[in-house]
Amino acid sequence: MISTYLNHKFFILFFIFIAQLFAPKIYILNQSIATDLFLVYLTYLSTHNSRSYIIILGFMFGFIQDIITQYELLGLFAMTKTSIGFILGSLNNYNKIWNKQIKMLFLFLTYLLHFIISSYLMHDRSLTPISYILQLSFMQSIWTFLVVCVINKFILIDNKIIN
Amino acid sequence: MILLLCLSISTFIYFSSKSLIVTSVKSEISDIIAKIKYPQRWYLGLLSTQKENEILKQELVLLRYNNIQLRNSIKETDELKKIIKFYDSYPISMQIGKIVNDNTSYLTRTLIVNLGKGHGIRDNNAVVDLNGLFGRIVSVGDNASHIRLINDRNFKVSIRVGEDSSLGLFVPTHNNLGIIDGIIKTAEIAINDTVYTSGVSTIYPDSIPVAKVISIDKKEENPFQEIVVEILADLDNYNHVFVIL
Repeated sequence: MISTYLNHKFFILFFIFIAQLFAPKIYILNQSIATDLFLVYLTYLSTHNSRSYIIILGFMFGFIQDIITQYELLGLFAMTKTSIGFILGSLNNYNKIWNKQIKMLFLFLTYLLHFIISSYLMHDRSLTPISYILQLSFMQSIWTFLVVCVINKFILIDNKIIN
Repeated sequence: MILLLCLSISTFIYFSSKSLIVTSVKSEISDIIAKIKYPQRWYLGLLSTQKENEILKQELVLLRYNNIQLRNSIKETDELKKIIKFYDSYPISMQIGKIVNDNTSYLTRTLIVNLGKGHGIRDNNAVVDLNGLFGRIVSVGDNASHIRLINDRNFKVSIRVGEDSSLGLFVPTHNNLGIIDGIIKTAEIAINDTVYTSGVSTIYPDSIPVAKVISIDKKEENPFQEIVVEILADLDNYNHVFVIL
């Protein structure tokens, strides 16, 4: 039973790994937005796992993401995903207390924070204005949030992220 | 704990990179830390400024003291120059001495000069300063002598004054003032005339400036002029004197 559960987890992780590797970039308003599938999966896991577990997973996902997306700034996503894992850990704690709107707001703000930090640490401020970073972070947050909503609505049957 | 561990590892990995972006992030973080630490630096700067201020104050006191010493040296040098000039220009044989003690009181006005028998000083030698007659030697030791000042009550000296060099007697009165006795009414004396020693004396050579006329009064009942004079010698700020041998 446990073995099946783990196999199932690893299969999903492998699928996300491959999907993230070949995830297409979407161009909206002259900005390229990539879907952060690791963040989406981390959000899903945060609904029924403890905070410590999510922090470790966040670190691991981030590190994998660093390796497969960019190698110059190794540790960037590991750092942001660890921090976001800590914040998303609250989702499990307050899952039954918060209503749908609060959860949605919480998730959006968490994503926004994640993308602001990662964009801030990813771009050179001498070349990239802070307004661009904020704009990009905002659009990526919206896109990731929409992806989460779509998955929540059409893919997840039980254990929905937002219910 | 797990959060800190994971964050530490990832931060370490991130900042280990030599990328330009990481360098710029590092510099920005340094700027932020510098801004946060600004009050601390400001306070430390204030403390060091206070300390520096105290040191500077001490230096200032020292410099003021040195400055005073230098000014005194300049004054002394000027005075010595005058003394040497006076000594060289005067035809009479003299010894330069320094006043080493002050015994002036209400009744007697005597000083001690650092010249004695060893320097050829004898009793009743006349003493002058740069301005005029200062006094005379009243007792002589081996290395020091007593000078009776010109304004001592017991001091009298024969003088000449006026265009016709009228003979008179200088008698001190109070402070730096004195009177001239024995000048007849017909003698032509004017204010600011200088009074000189007459030379009619075994003690004082002639032509030593003694005093300056400051007032003249001719009363009908008195056959002599009442002349008040001001002593020329500097009896307040004495330092070096000349003993005429």
